[in-house]
Amino acid sequence: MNVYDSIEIEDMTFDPIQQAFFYPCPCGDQFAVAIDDLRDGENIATCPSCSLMIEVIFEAEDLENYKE
Amino acid sequence: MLYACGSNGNGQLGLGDQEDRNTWTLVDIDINDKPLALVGGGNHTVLVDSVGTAYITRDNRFVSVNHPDNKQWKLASATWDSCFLVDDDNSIYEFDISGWRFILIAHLKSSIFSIKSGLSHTVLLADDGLYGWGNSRRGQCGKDELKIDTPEKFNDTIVNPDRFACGKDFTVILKDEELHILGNSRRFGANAISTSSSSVLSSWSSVLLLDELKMLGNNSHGQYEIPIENDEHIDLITLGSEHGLLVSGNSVRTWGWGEHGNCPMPTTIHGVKGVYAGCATSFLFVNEDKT
Repeated sequence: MNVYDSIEIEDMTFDPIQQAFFYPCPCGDQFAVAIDDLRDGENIATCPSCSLMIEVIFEAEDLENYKE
Repeated sequence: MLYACGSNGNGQLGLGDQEDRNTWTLVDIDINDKPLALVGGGNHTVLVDSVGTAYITRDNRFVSVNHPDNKQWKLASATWDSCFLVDDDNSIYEFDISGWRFILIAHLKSSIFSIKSGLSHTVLLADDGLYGWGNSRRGQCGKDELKIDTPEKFNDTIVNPDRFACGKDFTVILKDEELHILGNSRRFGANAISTSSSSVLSSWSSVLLLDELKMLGNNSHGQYEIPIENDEHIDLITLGSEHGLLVSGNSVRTWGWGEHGNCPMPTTIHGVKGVYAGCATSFLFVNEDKT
């Protein structure tokens, strides 16, 4: 799998309503990944408008900073 | 005449619709001379024409935006979701796209030559040095502060606008035979790299040392594959978010990540005077009368 870039979780934006992390994609849309997916061990955020993906760099305890 | 191709989901090509284009398409805007600036953010494009009028894409068209005090614009840069314009009097304005209005950021007593933006930070060059503002969480504005609201000087040794550029979360500066990376240097493996180059361009995640034609940083999608032979001359070159455009003679070429049509096949076009690239968007200014 060709990951376009690696982004640290603190550089992403957390949306408490959608319970997801976002980061700008070079196509103009945004990469997104749900916090529940990160809790389940997922570490890839995808863009709904193109094929690019980013690897999210985080430790499990980082997620505790984002309350539901 | 202005031609465009690439990502157009929010009408940022100014073509009257929201369909991506994979071939050079004529833009309906009345400009006869090379723009002073043409820059693209996530979903918007900003153009400053040769007489200092600014245009920003709205409802799929380039719409002119008047200076609050009827001065002329001279420079522009675009972050992900905003843009900055500099007028003849060296005042810096942010244009709030959702509110469609200018906000005065600062007025410098020194003369401003150049302004460039990354995803969420901006660096300008004035005759007394480099100033930065915006998101500086990685140190990309040259200072150890999370966020800088108005331009703050951080370097007074750079005098040439070719010697600095902004990536997504870093700023690169050429000085003392080295490329210095301020901010996130993870993609480069070091925060200073030896080079003899005197000119640098940056995409979001890779950097081009122009004199050496050497790319550094991310190479996930062909960013290093500059389509030029050793004996060919480059007349114009620029980098967008993750792609590049160059003109050699009458040959217009592209490379890198082109999923949205922003990297059309090599095309022969006479009279190209300017190349511009944003977030998966590509633009050409062509002066067809003066080939």
